[in-house]
Amino acid sequence: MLRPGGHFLKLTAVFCLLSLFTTGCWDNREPEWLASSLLLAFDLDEEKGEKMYKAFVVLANPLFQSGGESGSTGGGGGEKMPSWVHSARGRTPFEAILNLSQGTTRQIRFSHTQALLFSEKLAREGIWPVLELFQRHRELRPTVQTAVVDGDLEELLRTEFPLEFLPSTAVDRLLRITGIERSIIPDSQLLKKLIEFTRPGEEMILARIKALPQKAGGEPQGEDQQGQQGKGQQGKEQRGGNQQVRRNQQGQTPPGPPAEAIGAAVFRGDKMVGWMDGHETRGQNWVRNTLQRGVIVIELPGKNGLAAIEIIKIWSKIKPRINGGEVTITVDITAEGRLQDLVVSPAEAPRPDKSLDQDLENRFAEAIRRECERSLTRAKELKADIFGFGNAIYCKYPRLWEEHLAGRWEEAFSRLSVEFLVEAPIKRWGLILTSPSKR
Amino acid sequence: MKWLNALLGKRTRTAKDRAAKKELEEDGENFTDHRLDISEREAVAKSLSLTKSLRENLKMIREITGAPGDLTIREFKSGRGQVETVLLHLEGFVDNKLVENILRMLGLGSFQAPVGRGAGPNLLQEFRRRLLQSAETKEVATVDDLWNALTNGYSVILCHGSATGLACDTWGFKYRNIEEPSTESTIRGPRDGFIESFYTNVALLRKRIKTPNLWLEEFTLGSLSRTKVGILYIKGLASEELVQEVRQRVSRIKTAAILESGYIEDFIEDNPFSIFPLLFQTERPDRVTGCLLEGRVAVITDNTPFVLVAPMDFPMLLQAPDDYYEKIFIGSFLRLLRYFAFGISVFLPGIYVAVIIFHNELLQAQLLLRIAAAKEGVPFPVVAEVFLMEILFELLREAGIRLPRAIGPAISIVGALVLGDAAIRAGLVSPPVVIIVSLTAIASFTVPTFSFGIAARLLRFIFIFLGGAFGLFGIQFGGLLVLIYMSSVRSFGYPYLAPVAPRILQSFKDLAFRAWWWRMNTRPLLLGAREPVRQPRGQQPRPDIEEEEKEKTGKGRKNDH
Repeated sequence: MLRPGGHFLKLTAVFCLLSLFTTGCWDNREPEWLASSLLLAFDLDEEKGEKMYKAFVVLANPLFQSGGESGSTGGGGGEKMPSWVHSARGRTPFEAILNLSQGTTRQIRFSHTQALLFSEKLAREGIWPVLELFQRHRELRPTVQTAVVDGDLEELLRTEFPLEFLPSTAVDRLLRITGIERSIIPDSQLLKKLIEFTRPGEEMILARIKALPQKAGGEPQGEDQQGQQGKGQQGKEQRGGNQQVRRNQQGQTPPGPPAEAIGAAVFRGDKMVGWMDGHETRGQNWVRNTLQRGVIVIELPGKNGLAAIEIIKIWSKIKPRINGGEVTITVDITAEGRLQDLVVSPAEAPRPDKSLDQDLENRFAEAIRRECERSLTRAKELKADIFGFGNAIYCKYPRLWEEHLAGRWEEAFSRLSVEFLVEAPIKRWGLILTSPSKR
Repeated sequence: MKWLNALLGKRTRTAKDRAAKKELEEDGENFTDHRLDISEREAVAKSLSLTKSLRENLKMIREITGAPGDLTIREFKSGRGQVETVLLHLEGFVDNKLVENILRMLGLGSFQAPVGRGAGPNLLQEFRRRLLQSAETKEVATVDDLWNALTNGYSVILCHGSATGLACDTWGFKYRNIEEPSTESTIRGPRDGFIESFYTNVALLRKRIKTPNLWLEEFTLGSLSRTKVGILYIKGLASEELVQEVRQRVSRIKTAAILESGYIEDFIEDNPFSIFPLLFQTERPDRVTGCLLEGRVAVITDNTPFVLVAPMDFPMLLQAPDDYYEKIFIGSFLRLLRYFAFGISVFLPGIYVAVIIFHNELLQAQLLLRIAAAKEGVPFPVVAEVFLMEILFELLREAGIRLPRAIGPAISIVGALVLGDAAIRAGLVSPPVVIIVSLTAIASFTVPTFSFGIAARLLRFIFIFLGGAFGLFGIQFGGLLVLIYMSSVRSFGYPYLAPVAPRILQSFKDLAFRAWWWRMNTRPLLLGAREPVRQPRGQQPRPDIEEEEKEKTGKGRKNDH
């Protein structure tokens, strides 16, 4: 076949030439026939008493993208919307997303979907069919960011985000950046959620996302505020810029943050059982070693001020143990902190010494422990082992798990005694050793 | 049949000199006979010997050559006997000063030569003895010999009464200067390049390899062009089988004319259907020298600056001379870059087409949206778009080469700027395609061997079709086919992908990376097998420990004092 000069070369040449004229090649799709789905969302709807899945899709608008200076090919792209939210219903999730093609002029490609959202209603009903679809479907990828929407799903999809063109990018980035910067939502990649879902003795926990109602003053109402002002710990930096109402050129007030990602939806099996607030969620992140960055505000010794300590390194491990026939869990947490600021009158600013270090470290560790405890209490309330304690037992004592715990873990979990051993050195004091003060 | 008579005449001449002469005079219009075809004429010229009569000889020469204007015939009388003598040379081939010298010497009449009958041959001997001091001489006996001598820049002296002529070297052909080859320029490295002169080219090589073991074998190829072709190798280093093979293939060539080394390449390469060059061609003496030192054989052709090297392997194509002169890090980096660029220049347009129309999920979302947006409103399918732009670029490139220097820049501005920009503005071509094509074009110029760039260009079109018809699967298939083909093809019996397939680990020191020269202790295994060791080991430069220690102890002694 490879004999050069034989028919092979001639045939190849003819073959190649012919291919130019075969416009209907299998799977050959010119980009202008396609529309890219950027975000998928599922809600539950009813029709004539029958349960219907309602799929929302955010489609990127290529005409908008080309409306810029890149060329005149788009033609009037300036008036086009960057994306289009479209919805359809079906008895199964797949039927729903297939029905999306009714009313679209292009074939929808799902391979670029960046985020997957569930309405609370669907989450409480069970999301397993959608999870299954995401694994089964050729184009859908399990690497999307996923979250449960608190409140109106469609409102979130129609929200305009100040810094992003597309709501999908916004949701994707919101989830990622909140996870990285503040760790007040659980890890939200679908693949990790699927792992949580399939492990014995572990429950799924999804990020919570909420569209914030826009008021004239740009002061959004969010759980963040309510949940955290009492403690005076965090959440201030989020709205710092919006406290004063500024006016832009059009005389309109600039909008506040259009959405927030904070807290989590806790599942038992594939059904959502309740919400957790930001702190409780971060407690879960401490235990599962998924915390990336965050800040803890503690009171200074002497109660004369506050200190913000940034969490920079964390390591934790769940250690199950059998104590007199009873399984107990010890969670070892090592967190490294960095002192970032002090809210105190300059005269009383503390100077670094061993005892102060020790004191601060103890308070830091205590704050961490309290957060974990709080999270555990909430999880026990919801009877959902979101920490994977059961899984740790299953890994270490598989026989015990099979014989005694497998069927009744929910109940056993609510009586499980858990001890948090926190070691939290504050190793760095930033660039200065002593605060600036009058000599 | 008159040429046959001439042949018969030749045979009888020795016996019946006068009769033959008469016959020849009768058949005077032999060579002006227009019915004689070229091969017949050639045969006649070969068979005609010079006679003792100067008049006859001149007549013969005039009739055979058609008495061209550039054949200069100077008649004079020389020696005491005032023997009729002529000096023939071709204008342009000779150095006029040398000819003048000869004339002066011959015309002085101070020769102590015999007079009378038989003076001719003796006179020539005398000339020869005298002229040997200043020029190389040789005797010519036939018209063909005489003409060969003339076309090689000799001046030929004919004396009345002598049946041979004396040719003396008065070579003075004007060539262009030795300058840097424009197709293979380097930043660091010698700036000389081959020119159209055979012996200058040989000299350029011999200047670099001064061993007497650099052997040159000459052939004259082409029945009409009579081109000088030489094979050059280092005796004792190049394998005898290889030299024999080259010698045999070159000497087997039977053709009318060799105008360029490309003719020879076509005649002697292993596989005429290979789109990859199977003989390495270069204008740079340093590259040829490097090849000779590895045990390869060079084929030098007169009238062309391009020298062929055999055998060739694939990695040679992507090696530039700079690699060996620059420091190894930058040399290796550039070489890697060139491999990468070669990949781009072959595959990129094909991959672009395949990814856009078959596998757009491979692209990151933002990138896909950008490309889709740019493609919006373009009336052609992606394949056609890329194909059109590639053709446009090839047109520009070809036009750029053919155009007179003065118009070149104008065309490139019209072509590249105006046409490209207008195409985008009119929405006929999407900007990403222009980027892809320009990137490909830039990458293809990094291949140091131009002939290989051509192969890459042809392959590129094939891959565009494969990508457009079958997606990445097609490209993978095509790539595999090319790879299989390349690993099966041979150049003078040596595998084309030599150090890679078959894998020769010790030759990897000069493949994608280059080792330090003090590490290149062995020659390439396949070629330099006759003497694998190039240099002794352990020449890494390092501080001389003994010296240092001596210094230390010396100091110590000093302190003791």
